[in-house]
Amino acid sequence: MFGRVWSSIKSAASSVASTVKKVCTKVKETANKVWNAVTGKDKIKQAEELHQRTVQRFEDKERKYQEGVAQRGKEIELKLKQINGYKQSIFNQHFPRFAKLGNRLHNVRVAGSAFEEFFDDQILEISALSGVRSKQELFKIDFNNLSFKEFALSVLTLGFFSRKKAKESLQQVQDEANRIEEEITKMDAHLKKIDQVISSISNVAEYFEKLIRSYDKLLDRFEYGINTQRIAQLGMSPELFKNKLDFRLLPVAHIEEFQALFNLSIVLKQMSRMAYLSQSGEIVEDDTRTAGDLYQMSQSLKAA
Amino acid sequence: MSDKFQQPQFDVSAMTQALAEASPLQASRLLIDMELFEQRDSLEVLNGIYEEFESGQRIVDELVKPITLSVLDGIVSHKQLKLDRTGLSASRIWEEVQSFDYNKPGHRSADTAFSQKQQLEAMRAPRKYDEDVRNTMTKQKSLEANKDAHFKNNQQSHSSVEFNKDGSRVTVYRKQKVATEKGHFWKASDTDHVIPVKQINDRYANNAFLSVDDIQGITDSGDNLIEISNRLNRAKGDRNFSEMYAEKCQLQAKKDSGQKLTKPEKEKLGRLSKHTDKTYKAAIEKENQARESIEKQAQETALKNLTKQPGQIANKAGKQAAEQTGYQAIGHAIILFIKPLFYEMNDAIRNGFAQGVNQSSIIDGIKYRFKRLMAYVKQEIIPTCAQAVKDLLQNFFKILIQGVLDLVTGMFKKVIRIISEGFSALVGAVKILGKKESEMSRAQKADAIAKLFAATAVTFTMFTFESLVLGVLPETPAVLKDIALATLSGVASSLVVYLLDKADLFSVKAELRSKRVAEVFDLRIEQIKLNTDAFQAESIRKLAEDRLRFKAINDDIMTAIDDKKDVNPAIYALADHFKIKLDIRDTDDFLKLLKNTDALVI
Repeated sequence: MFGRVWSSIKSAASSVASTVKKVCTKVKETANKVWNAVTGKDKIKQAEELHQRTVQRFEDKERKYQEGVAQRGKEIELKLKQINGYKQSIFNQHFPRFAKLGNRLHNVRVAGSAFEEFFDDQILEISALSGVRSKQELFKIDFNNLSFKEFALSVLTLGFFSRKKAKESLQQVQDEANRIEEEITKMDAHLKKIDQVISSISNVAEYFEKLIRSYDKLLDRFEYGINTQRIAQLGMSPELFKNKLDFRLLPVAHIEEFQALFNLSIVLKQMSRMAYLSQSGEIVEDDTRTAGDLYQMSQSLKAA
Repeated sequence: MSDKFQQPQFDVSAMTQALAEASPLQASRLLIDMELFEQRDSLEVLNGIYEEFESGQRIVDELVKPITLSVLDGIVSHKQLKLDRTGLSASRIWEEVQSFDYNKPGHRSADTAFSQKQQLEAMRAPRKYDEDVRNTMTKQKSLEANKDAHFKNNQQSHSSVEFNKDGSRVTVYRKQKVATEKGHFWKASDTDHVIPVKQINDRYANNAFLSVDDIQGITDSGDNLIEISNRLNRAKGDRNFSEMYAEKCQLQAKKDSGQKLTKPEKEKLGRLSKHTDKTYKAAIEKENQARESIEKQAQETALKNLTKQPGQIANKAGKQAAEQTGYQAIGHAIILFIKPLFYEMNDAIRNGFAQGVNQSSIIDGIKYRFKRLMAYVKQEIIPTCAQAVKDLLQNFFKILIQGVLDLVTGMFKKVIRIISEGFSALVGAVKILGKKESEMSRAQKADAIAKLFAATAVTFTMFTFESLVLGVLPETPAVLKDIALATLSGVASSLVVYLLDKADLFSVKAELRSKRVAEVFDLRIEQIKLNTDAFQAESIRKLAEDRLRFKAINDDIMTAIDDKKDVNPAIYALADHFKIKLDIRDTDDFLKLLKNTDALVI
């Protein structure tokens, strides 16, 4: 009986103690909230959270952007290497073959050299990207390091001073977040721009590849025609293999092929001497004659 | 959004054109050089917004302008001034305040200048003077009354101003007959207007504040009538004594210097020399007294009319210039004054009270500004007004300026008093703060409270002004009191609002600035996205088009090779597509080239 009563008393006391504790906690929480609101600490807390989120978001985006730029840079570099390879093959294989075949009709010489373009990843960088400014720059008050003047002003103005500073800090961080959104948008826009550059450089690589194939095929046809004509003209001149074919005796179709190869060579040469992204690179070999000389020569011929 | 913060819009047509003009081989370089957003650092933009927000111009645009427009509207549409009927509007005056420049004192907008000119010239241009006009200005009975008063019951008396060579006074006779009988034909008395009637006509006839009777009263007033010999009167003509004496001195000086006088000059000098210098001095003294008296009478009569007979003034002014009333003339003069006043206020807010005029303290700055304003009013505004308006305004402005000075300096000195006066405003502010968030945002609450404080301060200052300053000018017409109070209300409200804005008690400024930052960056971001989309779409289109065109040409080349056909047309198409110049586009030319050269050079 006594034990049951004691147990009831104990239970009631425990319940009261628990309730008191809860009330105390609640009062403490409420008082804390009110205190934070009066001093402006709540605003600083919000500002800190927003600043952290903004820094995090910017860093994530910047990292992805840098990765994106690097990956796209590699892609472009690969394409440039491919193009450089085509340029080299034009000068080292295809033009010599054309010159060799052409020489059976007329002297053919290739002036100049291919331009080897180097990839400069700086052209893919945004010139002005400003990251999130530090808390020291954005926060107008630091509750952990209040100066005497700040403390005195806060007390004398019943928290007006610190609340104002805290609110202004929050506003500045919000402004910074808005500004950072622009930086992120710039990164996205830049990546999209690079994508288009990749598409266009890929087009150029494809042009090279296909034109080289066509050039090669045209050379095959020309070679076949020349060889046929050599055999045909052999009866007329046993010394033919030592001398050149008389182009005046050639059928027009072969002259047209020679002309097409000549013009296509000019196109390929110009393509090989071009820079596609920047001017950084080098001429593989020097030569005194340029396409401009050829143009001058043909003009004087026309005039004659 | 102002242009300076805008992201430039991407020009798709320029991109299309650039790509169309260039070789497809150069597309990459073109694309990489295209800018989808400006290179300006976003931080620079943000700082620009902050600076803009801190600038006085924003306060002027957002806070001072509405107050000033309201005040100006009150003045322009005042029921007695009716300035709105002359085409004036508050916004037009505001524009003129904006473009006001002390270095260009004549600078006024054409319309207003015309309007003012019309009115002021109407008041200043002399009325045409003839016998009929003269008859309205002077009455025989007035002259007779003066004679009666001078001679009383005698037939002779001393001239009012003439002296003989021996210093004795000249005797004049009331009647010509008696003078003739006495052998003094030229000493018959004439009642003369000391200030000639024509001169009074020229000066006062078109004054909107003076009626015909008023002008006749002034012309024939006792101070302006004297009894002089008919000799002196004939010699005087329609000149005054000063001019007469000046002419005599000039001719005498010419003669004394040995120059030869013409016959008419000799005759004139002879006539003028018949009167002694003492006579001239007395006459000139009389003339000065008369002028002073006439001006005083004119001012008093004008003031009296302004307060007691506005209707009559309106009628008279209506005849002088269509729809222009005496009040309007005053109103326009006040507008002339208000422009530099509000200019000073705007400039002070925009550039700082002291910094804007290179002064060391705010009080010094304010004093300097009002001194500059007062000098401008005296030099540029007062001289353009008719005399009565001039005198009226001069006094009025003095008191007004003093009042403004007292108020603004007083405001800085008596902040505590303003705060105590604003206690009731605090109670109102608490009520506003108690409103629900859904009913009123925090910014709105802060704004409402700021207005409450401003209104309280203005009420306080207005009360001070009305009781202390206008109180010493009991004769000031109600209309002028209205304008003065409205003007001061504008100045005081602007100052209070300016101070509140500077104090930014509720951090509303930061809130509004953030709003502005968000707006600016939202639009900039949107523009970058639009630019990117436009760029992407055009780039994809062009690259696809180039690729398809190349594929078609290359297919033609391959087909021609396979079919053993002429490949040259396809090569020309390729060169054209790539914008590569081919000089040999004809087989005959090619054959000529082969014939004429030792070697083909690629």
